Amino acid sequence: MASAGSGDEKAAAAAMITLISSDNEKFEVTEATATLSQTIRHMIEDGCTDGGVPLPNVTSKILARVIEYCKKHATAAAGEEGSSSSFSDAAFLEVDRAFLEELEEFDDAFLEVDRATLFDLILAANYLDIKGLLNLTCQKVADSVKGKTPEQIREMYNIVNDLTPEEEAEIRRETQWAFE
Amino acid sequence: MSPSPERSNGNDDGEDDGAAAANLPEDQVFELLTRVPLDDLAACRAVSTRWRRITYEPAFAPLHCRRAAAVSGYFVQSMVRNRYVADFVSMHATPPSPSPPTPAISLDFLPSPHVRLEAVAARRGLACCVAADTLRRPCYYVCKPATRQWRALPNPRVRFRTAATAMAAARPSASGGGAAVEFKIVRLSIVPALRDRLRCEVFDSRRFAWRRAADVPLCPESLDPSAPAVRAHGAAHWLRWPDQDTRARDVFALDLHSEAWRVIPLPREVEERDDPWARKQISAVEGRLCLLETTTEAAAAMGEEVLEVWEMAGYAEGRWEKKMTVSLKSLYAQEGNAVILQQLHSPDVAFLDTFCRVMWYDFSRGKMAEVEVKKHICVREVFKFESDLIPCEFGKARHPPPARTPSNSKEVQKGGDYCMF
Repeated sequence: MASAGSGDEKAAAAAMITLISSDNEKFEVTEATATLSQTIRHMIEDGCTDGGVPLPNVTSKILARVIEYCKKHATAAAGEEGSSSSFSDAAFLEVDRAFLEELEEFDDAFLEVDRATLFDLILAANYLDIKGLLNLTCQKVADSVKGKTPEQIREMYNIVNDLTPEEEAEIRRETQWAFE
Repeated sequence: MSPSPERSNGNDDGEDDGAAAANLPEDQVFELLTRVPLDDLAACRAVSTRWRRITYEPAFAPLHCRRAAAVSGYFVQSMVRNRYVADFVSMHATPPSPSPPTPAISLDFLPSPHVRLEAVAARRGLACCVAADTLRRPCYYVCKPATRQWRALPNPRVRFRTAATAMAAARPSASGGGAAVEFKIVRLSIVPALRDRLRCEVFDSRRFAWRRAADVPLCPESLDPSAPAVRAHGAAHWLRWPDQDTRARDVFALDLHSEAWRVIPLPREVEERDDPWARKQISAVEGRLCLLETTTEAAAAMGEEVLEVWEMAGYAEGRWEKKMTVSLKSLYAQEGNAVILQQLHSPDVAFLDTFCRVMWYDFSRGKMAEVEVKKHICVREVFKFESDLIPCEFGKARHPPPARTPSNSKEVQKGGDYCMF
């Protein structure tokens, strides 16, 4: 997949975009996949994707995962467009539902990563402006605080407790019933 | 789990040690905190100053309500033709309903047609109501208005008139999957023969019974019976009427956890002000107790009213700090003189009512939202109220459902689909 095919004939190049990670690895993706990212969509619209799109904020490891997500969801988006033109068709709805279920399963599996990767995915999703991925990853982190005490949350995410002892006593008093 | 070593490639500035949420930019922390369930928001607020600050940003609440499927607003209660009427108002749209459409939040699902809202556990969406029909014996209920669930409680000593009621609820335990929510109600009442003390009773859902707690040796008439408790710092607060001899006012604070109480004097500057028309209120803003005083005395121009806000800066020693003084001139110019300040919604936003309308008013930017409340000509009580939409159980001590004794089956059937007893 690592080929800088920008010098080829226009016809072939039109549909493919080359993304370059921070560690200089190149990924070739279809335009439909790449435009799930608003950032890249704007670059394409501005016609500045020749010679590849450098993404200095995203490592190859993370970019590979982001592309994996985009590929799956780009097909989903295409499917939706197809069905919306004739959405009265019951068969289409049936296919749609199966597809959505599959997509959900994919998302669940996609989130089975360690926390460092999850945070990198959030950062990448934000930088690339991929709404669906940002939503998915943020929700995963938000769900992980369920039932946890502030100490446990700090430990889990390496957050420094910068509250003064007085402030902490204050908050503890405010929420003591909640932590019994 | 161990932080991945190859992470140093990540181009975030500065620290690169492990999966640190501290490295996440502000926007992303905001993004993920808006998705935290309401029950866990309090814990997140205690994580760090940054997390705490973000959850109190003006843009946070509306987004959080939508994403975490929660409601946030106020119950306003009025007296209409000698009946209590309580309605829920919110400045945020109700979240998109899950499979059964969410009905408007109200108290109309309770088995008694006429109830008075006594107290709320604001963060957990619980309310304590009393059947208020004077011809019948009062009956206490605990309910979750957002899910239309209720359960009848045993009565306290209702022959002693209620002076004040407060309620607290615990976060449901994460383990076990059971959604039982534990709560506690403290009721202060007036024994006619005793002029120097308040009778104190405590209902604990774990025992599902009332018990007598130590009397509070304060003048029973010093509490305003229609002032809801102001919850902050783990305690319930009421502003007391002026002392008969000294004319001094103070705040009565009752710790709902330990049931200890104390009185907090008002700031000396406020006490010494010579303005007979000054109006004092207390409110909770961002988890802190605040004193609001509407006065004309400090104003430069004669007759111009100002709002002075004092915040509890050191709760242990009862230290107040003046937060702001804001002129009410433009508020009155825009909304008329009949607006009544009810609560401080956030440091810059007041929650006000006027004839049949309630509104949220930003002191620097003007009116933010307005809701018509047709029945409420004059709002008596305002309860801040937040709730998720997840059904719960009230306490663990459930009786097996089939044991329907004739005495309470009638009431249960009236209550609709979700009732619990």
